Amino acid sequence: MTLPKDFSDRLSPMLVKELRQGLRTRTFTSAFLLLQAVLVFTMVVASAAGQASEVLDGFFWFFLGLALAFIMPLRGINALSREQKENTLELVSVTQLSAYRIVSGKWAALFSQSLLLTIAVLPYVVLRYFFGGVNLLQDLVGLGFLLLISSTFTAFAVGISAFRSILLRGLLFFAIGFLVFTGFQIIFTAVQFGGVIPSTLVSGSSIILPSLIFVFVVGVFFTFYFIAMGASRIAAVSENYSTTKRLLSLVALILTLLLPLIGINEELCLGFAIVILTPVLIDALTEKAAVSRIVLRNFVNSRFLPARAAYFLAPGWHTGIFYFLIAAAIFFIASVTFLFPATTHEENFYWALITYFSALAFPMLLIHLSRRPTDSAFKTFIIIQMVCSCLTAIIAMPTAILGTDTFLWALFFLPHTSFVLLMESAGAAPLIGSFQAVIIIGTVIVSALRARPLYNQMSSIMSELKTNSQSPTDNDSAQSDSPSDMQHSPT
Amino acid sequence: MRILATLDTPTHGRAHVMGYDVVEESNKVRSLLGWMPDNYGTYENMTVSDYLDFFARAQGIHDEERISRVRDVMEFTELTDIADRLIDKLSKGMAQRLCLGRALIHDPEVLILDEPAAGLDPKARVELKHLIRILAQDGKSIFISSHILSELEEMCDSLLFIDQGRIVHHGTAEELKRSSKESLLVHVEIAGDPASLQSWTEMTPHVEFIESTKHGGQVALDSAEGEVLADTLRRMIESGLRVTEFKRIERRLEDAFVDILSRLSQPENAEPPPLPNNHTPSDSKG
Repeated sequence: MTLPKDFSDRLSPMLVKELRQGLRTRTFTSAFLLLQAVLVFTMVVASAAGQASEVLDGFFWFFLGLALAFIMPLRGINALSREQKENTLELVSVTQLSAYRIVSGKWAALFSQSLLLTIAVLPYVVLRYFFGGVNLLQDLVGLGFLLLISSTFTAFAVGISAFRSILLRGLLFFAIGFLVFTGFQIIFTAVQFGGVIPSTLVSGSSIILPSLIFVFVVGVFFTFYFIAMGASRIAAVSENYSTTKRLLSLVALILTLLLPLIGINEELCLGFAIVILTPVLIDALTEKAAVSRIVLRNFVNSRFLPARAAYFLAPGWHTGIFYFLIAAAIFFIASVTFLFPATTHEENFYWALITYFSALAFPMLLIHLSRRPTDSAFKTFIIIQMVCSCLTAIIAMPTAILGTDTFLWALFFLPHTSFVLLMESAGAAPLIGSFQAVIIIGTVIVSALRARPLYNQMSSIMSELKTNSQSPTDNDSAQSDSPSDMQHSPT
Repeated sequence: MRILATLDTPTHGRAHVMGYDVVEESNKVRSLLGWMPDNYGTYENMTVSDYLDFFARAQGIHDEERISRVRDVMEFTELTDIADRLIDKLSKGMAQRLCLGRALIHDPEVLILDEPAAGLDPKARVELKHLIRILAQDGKSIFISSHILSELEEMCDSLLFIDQGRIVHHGTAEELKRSSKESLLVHVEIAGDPASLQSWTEMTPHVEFIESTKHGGQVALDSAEGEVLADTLRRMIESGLRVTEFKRIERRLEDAFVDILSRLSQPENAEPPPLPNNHTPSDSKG
């Protein structure tokens, strides 16, 4: 009998399991051997042709980029859904592993294989150095950048793998993956790196180090965020990941908005803030609603947060709507007061900001008005966003051809169309923007009305918990007739 | 069962395992509970020992204790010889033993087994029952759900029957059989013409002929009292029937359960019997 002693007890059980399985699969072994073969072959051919440096350079970055930023993350797209489909997740759920440790273990397994691949190609980095024309520091920064993308994108793939719909997962992976990649590229290049990632590292600009740190922090933040997002989708109602996610996101947002103080361009900061805020707000607005006594007890007993913070930090869309309001207010106030004061910017800019938040709120308005079950709100949210974008694209075509904005007015109520209208009809901006503000207010009111039973439940549980904590003779686990942890069933 | 296993959230009421709330103290409940579902998946590219090792790690068991637990569980479930076999290549019986082993890896106080014998061949079924009996003797509380009532009768101390979401019986198998119907079935064989038995029952009050057999038939008595049984035999002999065999027929659990359901379906008996006060679902076995 062979008892496994190959991995330390300190490693996450899920990581150990995934590594044992992953290293037995042919996919990893084949990809690993193929990469080695291709690199050796290329090196030999290029060396014979006397162009080793240039050819190797291209192959090196292409294959490594493909493996780290696409193939390895793509392997995570079924990580949780396969476990759900094959009834294996439940068996793990009844162990001592939390949802976060399950998801992070999945991520760590894939990312460690990416690291293994990276280490395997390091000898070729040295060989390229031997052939000349290579800046080792640039290469290391490039490699770090690729690993950061790989980490973030793997976390994203594993996080969205909690959604059962393969279509949704595929769509998100390719669409958001493209945005993540482009986002990093923009961030990295825009802070005056001068285009290609590694080429200007040694430019001597003082902005480089803070920028590198910023890119690293953004990557780590999103890696954590996407893992937590996946965890909160599979967690029991008593496990709370939303509070940490939302608080960290608020901190990230505020820090990003303060970046101009260290000399970073305001427009860039606005872009960074939108990149951070968009997935966070979508997640908050579409989270499954649940009222958990154990989660609320943590708020009531918290030394750092007031109990009322539960109304915007506890898990669920019913609190997500208030979180949305707070984040939007911070964003807007920062923009108006010091990022883009009215003296330096056009009024249209503020209406565009309002329209951005309206575009995020609008699908939730439709979902709540239709009184559909909100368990699959994320999927419905994405579908509505796609439909709105398509409608706007269709109606924008005759506008572009005929040079009139008449057609656009037919769909002026859509935030997506309003963006185009703001560009086409600057004079109508107050009207369009005001309507979008009404959409935001309407969304908040309708959502709050729909969530009223949940607020009542939260309120009564928190009152009870406060009473219990104030009277030491009472048992803290005193129980009400109603269930303390109840998933909201809106219909 | 899924609520007790902390997998689902109750929409009404509360559930406790060994005094711990399954929602609020789910981690504590999980440390005390072993869960064996009726339908579960297996992993690819994973051996039996890897599988148990993974769940031992997931339950927070470390170092030598983990290795020792995995070894003990494999020995108990007789999986030692196939420790290096891939789990997706196991037979149904072996897979079921592995699942039981997984549920036992952290030595839980309570086991919840959902249809543990479903789909097993007779040999594997006997082996599984044997393991369950050993666990019960070791003092574990075992909560089994099954549609094969005869198996429950063999394994369980206490039975809880649920029909369409309501409890229709709670007690031992004997209690169920006794409470299901007042009548008693008797197998009778006589020397001579078997039809004479039927003729006799038609003339005798409180006795009903159920079905004929080669040398007699089955008769139902109105009461299950021992005196009625003795009186019936005496009256048969006094009537000239030459009785060669007179044997009480044990009622099957399935029949008793169906009797209870049919009785409850009548409007005057719509209310099921109350649960005994000294039992709660979390501490019952059955």
